[in-house]
Amino acid sequence: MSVEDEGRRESDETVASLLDRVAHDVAKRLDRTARNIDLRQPLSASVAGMLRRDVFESRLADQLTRLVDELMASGADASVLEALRGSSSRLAALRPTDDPSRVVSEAVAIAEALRAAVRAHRPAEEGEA
Amino acid sequence: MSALPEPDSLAPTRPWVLVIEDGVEYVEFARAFLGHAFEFRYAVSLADALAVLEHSRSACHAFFVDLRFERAPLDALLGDVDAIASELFGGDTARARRWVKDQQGALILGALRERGYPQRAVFVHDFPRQRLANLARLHGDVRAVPRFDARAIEAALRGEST
Repeated sequence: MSVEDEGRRESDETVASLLDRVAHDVAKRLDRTARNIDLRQPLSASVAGMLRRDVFESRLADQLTRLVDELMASGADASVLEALRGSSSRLAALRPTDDPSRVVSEAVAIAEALRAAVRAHRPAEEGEA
Repeated sequence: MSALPEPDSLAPTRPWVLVIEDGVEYVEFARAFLGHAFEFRYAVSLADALAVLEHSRSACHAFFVDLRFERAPLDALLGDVDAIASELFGGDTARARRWVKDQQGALILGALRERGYPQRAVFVHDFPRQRLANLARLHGDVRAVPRFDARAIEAALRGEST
């Protein structure tokens, strides 16, 4: 393996590790409550509180912003940076006053987008879903 | 014993599950969305988990385990950083510290197995297939659900195939 190949491999591993650690955990937090809410029933106060903490008070958009900075420094390709920026923007656009069905569907959709980014950048031998 | 205790004054009417994590996200989720099926007790470390297991009147049904322990101080975590740095990372203690945090749930599970607790363990983690197979080879009945999906987690805790 050439020095260039070795450097690229290390960069890929760093990017995969950062994505797995941060984006995966942000995705988990985003849909921890949202995925399990039954919108056909009124939200209980405790579940509404969990949803609010998960989506609006956990500073997940900030985590994604920091992740983008770290990934840029690690040489991540433009597509993953764009995907993460898109997820961060969608998350930042949500408001606690939004209709709960919008909050729930957006949280779940953003979580899935983040998981797709994590899977797409796993090392080849771990790339299966 | 940790915060958020489950009252143990009466024998549980449902099977009970031990949640092992360094925050409260798993136990909060579990009690909100799986409380109809299980009772949940809670531990933040190996010592804490052993205390709960040894002082409970009935056998634990399963473990619900967080993999990463980001918030616990390093000295509260299982794993000898210097030895791990030497064995796995060419002496790089920074990488070893990261690894100990990233793998803490699996390390605690291994220690529970060594102490004779064979209960099914469920992680919420999107493991690559080979990694999950390795965990099962090392630790027996280990299952993973890639997201906080209450139905899938309930099925995994029950040992049902999904």
